[in-house]
Amino acid sequence: MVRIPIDNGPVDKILKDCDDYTDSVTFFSVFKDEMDKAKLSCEVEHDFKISGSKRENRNPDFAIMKGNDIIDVIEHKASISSPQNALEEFTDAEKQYRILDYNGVVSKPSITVLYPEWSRIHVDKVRDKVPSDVSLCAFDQTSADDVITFKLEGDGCCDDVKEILDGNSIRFKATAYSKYKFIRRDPPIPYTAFQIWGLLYGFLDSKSSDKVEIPVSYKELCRRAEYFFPPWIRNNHQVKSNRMMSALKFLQTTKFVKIAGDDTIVRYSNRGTKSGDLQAYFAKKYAEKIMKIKDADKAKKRKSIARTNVASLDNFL
Amino acid sequence: MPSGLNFADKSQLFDYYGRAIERSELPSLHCFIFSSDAESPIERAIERARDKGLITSLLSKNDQIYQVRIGIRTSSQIGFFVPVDKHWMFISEGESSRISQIMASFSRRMFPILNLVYVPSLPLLEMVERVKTKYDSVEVVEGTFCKTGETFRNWKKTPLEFNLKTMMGLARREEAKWTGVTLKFKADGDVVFGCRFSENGHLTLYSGNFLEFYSDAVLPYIYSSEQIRQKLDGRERKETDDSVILSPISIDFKAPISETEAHTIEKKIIDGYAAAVLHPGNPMLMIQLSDRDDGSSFDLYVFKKKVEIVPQQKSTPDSLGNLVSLVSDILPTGTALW
Repeated sequence: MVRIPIDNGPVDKILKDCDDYTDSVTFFSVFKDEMDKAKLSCEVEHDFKISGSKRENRNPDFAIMKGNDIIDVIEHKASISSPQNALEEFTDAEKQYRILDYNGVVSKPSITVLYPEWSRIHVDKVRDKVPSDVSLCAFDQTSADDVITFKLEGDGCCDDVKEILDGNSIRFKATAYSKYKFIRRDPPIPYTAFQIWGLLYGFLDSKSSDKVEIPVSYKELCRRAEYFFPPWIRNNHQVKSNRMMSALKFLQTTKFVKIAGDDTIVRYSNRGTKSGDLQAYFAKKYAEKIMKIKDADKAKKRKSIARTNVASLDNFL
Repeated sequence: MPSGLNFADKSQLFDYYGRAIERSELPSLHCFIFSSDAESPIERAIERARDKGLITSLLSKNDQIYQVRIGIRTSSQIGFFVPVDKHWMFISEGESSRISQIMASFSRRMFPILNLVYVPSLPLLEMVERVKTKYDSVEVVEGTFCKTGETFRNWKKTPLEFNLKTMMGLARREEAKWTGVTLKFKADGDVVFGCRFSENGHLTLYSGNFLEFYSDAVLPYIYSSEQIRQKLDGRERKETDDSVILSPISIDFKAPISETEAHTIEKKIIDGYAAAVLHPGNPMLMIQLSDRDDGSSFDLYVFKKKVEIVPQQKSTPDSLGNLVSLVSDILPTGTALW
């Protein structure tokens, strides 16, 4: 998809994030299929527990395995917003994946970071500062031609991966997005809210279509949502439940659902004119919410500064 | 129509209308075919109409014949609902455009309890081609074309013999689709019946024998609509342990879809569905949408020469049919692959 960064305000920024997320979902689905076709053993968004640490883990977007050895790590960046952001992302990838001690096997994988072609302008400005262990690869995801093209800029990765990335392209169907709606990376809240709102409609039947409020079990809602998570993160309850609950709480603030006191039953209303571009509506509401929080923070700061000033004046007197 | 009419059964009702048409007491008789999966749909529709503030009411009920007044805003229409082969037929007399507007509006408000069936242009013509074999000839009197941005009627000054190839050729030449066609079915030099078929569940009898019309127009039409429903059925996204099965419907076009056309689709969907525009077109329009009435959900993609509809968690044949019909009314020259 040819993406032109938009900077017309917070709502556009949120919608751009939603677009990027949609593209990423498609990318992950298509790229995983490509890895399977190439018969590469590939773990997607897998939790690699770091040896000797109970808490620490790493989850690269794509890890190419040879037995227990991780030989390649491929990180996908949907968006690079500035040269500084580019450098942060590349340095972070190097820090995270340079050495992976997993299951007692110490791996030193090659690291490749994929970045969107349209953000090359930012990458070019920091190219000489990119850690030497990191290979870069620009990609262009264009639905007009149903193709993702790659331009590999280093040669660190294994031959099999190089074959896929080096000046090559993957044909894909944009409808690949319809397989799943999520990846591990957290989507913007308005995106999840819209997905959940769509799932809630699925509870309608000919008997309930006229009811004002329809009770839905939270457990059942999560069960239905589960099918829209790809198999590689489907069993990750933490990812699912956090995402679901934050979006439901947001839907509650926008008066689309009511969550019962025990958080197990969602009652949602089927009345009113809730047609339109709801994701854009949620983005607007979300932006307003963020602005309110920011304004409240500013007011708080102003108050505390005023108090400090008073205190200093008192001291002076 | 007088509201005091009472019929003991369907055959009495058909006799009454048959005689009225034969004696030319009625200029035309309208039949609207509804599908429904609900229990007691007529009672439920009347109940819903009351909730929605419509002036629809049940005037009488005998056996399974419901005499109903259907009122939308300031217009109302009296007619009879009768069950026909797992469907419901609303039969009434009156001025064509007025009654079809009332019924289309009623159907939209009653969905999913009752929904006007849909027989797309090509299957509609194919159905006539099949019925034609029972008659000496079928004459095309008039037809309605739907072209991008306009709908127009095409009156035949000299009679045109119905032929599927000719009809499709005419549509191609106009870069349009037939949305309705008025025909005369002839045998032994006489007109057995003259009627009109539309894509959207509406049949009109203008002259001739009601029972022949019923068996050679209404029943084949219902059969065709049922075949379309079967093609649209069971298309929801299916999930196994490690794979997802999608059953999309693809509508292909020979000429590229313009930005204006894609924008019209986007606007129509945003007006009627709970939607999210995930990509706003150029090069691809991608909309995720939920049917607010029956809970079906779809992803719709508009590419350069193709529209693809991918059913999601839930997909009923009626809701999917309505969406296909919406697209086909904006882009009438497509070929649906299902």
